[in-house]
Amino acid sequence: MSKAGSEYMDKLMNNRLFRALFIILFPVTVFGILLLTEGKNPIETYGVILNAVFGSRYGFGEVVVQATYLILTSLTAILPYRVGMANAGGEGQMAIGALCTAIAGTTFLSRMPAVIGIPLMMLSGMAGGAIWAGIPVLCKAKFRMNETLSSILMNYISTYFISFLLYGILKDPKGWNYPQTMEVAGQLRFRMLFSTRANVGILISILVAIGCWYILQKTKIGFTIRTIGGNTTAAVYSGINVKLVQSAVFTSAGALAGLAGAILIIGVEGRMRVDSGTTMGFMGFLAAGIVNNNPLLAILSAFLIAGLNIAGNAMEINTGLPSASIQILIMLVLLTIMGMGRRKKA
Amino acid sequence: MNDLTVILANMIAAGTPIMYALLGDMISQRAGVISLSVEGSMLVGACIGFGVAYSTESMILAVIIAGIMGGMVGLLQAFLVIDRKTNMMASGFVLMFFAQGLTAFYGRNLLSVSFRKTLVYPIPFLSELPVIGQALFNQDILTYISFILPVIVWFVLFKTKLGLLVCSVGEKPEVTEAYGHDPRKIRYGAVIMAGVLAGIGGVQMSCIYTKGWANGMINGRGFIASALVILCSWKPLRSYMAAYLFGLAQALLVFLQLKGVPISMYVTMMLPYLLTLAALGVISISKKPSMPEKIKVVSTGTD
Repeated sequence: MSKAGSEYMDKLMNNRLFRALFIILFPVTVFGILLLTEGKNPIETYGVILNAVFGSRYGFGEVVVQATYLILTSLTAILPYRVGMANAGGEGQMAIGALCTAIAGTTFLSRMPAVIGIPLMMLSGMAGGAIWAGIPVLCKAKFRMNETLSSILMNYISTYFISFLLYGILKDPKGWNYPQTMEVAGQLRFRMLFSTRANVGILISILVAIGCWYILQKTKIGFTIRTIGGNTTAAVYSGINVKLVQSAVFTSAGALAGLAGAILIIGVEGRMRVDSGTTMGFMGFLAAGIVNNNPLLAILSAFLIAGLNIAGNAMEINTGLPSASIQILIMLVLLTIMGMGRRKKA
Repeated sequence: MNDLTVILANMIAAGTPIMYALLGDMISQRAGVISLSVEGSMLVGACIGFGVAYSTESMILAVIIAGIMGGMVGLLQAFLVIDRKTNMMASGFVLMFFAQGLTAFYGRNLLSVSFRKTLVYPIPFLSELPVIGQALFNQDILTYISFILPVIVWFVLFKTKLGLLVCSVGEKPEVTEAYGHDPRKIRYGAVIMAGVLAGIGGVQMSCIYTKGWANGMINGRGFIASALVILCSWKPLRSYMAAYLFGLAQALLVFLQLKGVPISMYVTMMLPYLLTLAALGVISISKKPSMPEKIKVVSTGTD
């Protein structure tokens, strides 16, 4: 490309409106072409997608339900990123959190009133997530193992560990042999709102996201975190105990995934099943990437991904395409953003 | 076939796809980029390769297409890491989702079909050796290639000019540049190569090992391969040990289950991942691995 041409491209790529349009239109066009090559009508398919999300109260409620988890699991990826780490283990941390919540809710907390029982169940979930995130942290501290790799492996381990328990000692004796725990008592559940499955969990998630943003931007701890994220070496020289802060942030991030798991059980599910909350941890990682690890904007990207996910299910029913195809569209959005690079400050 | 032969045969079958991805990522890591994207490459290779093999009945075409498709995922990883300076672990991880979506989309009509063509070519005389004959020398071509692949990669990396260039990029790219070569291009090549080999590992798995395509069938094998590169201390010849150690663990567990030893299926399925995690821990305390300079930064963070 000529020099003038490439300068023009740079200028265009820095234009906010152009960027926003490009990020939306490019993936939508590519996915549309993909649909065309498979003999599906893209306009019809996009109609199905929009209708699934905005067409009914129940549909939109489902989006809110998924966004609840995705906000928290995206924070699970965002916080470690801010101290120069990558936590790819949100999936396992959320699952273990859900498992711990279900165990707590069906055993020692089962007779508690809601005011004591629900907060303690949430704490159990957070503890579960934190422990699961603590293992990669320990592996890094003791064996200098890369935390991304070990947290990915922990995802697979959690899946089989949970199956092992649900097909074994935790199986509900009255559950017709389904691999699931007993059901949490009625008083320990969130009430559903507006005749959808949405519940108070969404408020908790949004408050946590705002809280994370506040801590990062306005407090001393946040300043320390931003210093480490900006330049790790400089942070070491300025006397910050970088490893301690990194470990603490990574473990807390696991606790947030665990909280997502807790809300999953207390809210919609009521008991732990083999596939409770699957892909929510993974998708949270994508939601974090889409907004370049900004905790406030993560609320928006969580809603975006939740909407697309729900649309994916509708697409499967209406067009016969597997619901996972929607992952192509989600990834195209993310890859477009990653591929364009950050906006240069003028 | 006696028990030992069964275990050996299963060990090789489970170890072979890992071997390809492992050596691929080793080349990439030698050039300073960890390609967690080999997971995505394997997935795409397994799906598209199986589709090609099923519809054309040509295994050669399937391998070529699987290699190309795996390489495309590698190209994405290369672009994101080298040109866009994305965190290489994060980009490799997210490319798995892209592969999952694409393979669910294009593989939806392949789910119920199986590939019946026999691809086994016994080697005369050798395949009649007791115990090892049937296990080692009654295999498909891709498995035979995997027997010598570590030696080839070793030779290319350490005995040819190209290989030395790849390694120099992972250690001191300034030097590579000073000698008039573009480190960026070499890195691109290495990361794409990782994808190509992983794609071939994927097609080996779907066409020969499982003889069918299932959504998400790679199930972390690419990530395990990436981790095993560390266990090999970035030395190609050690991949025999790493890949077959993984294969042996799986083979033993299958064997114990066949013999009716009461172990939960889920514990069995969990073990490869636990074993990989444990192996990483053991290697890190046993000695200082000869880690490429450019990867130290990623792996250890602060120091």
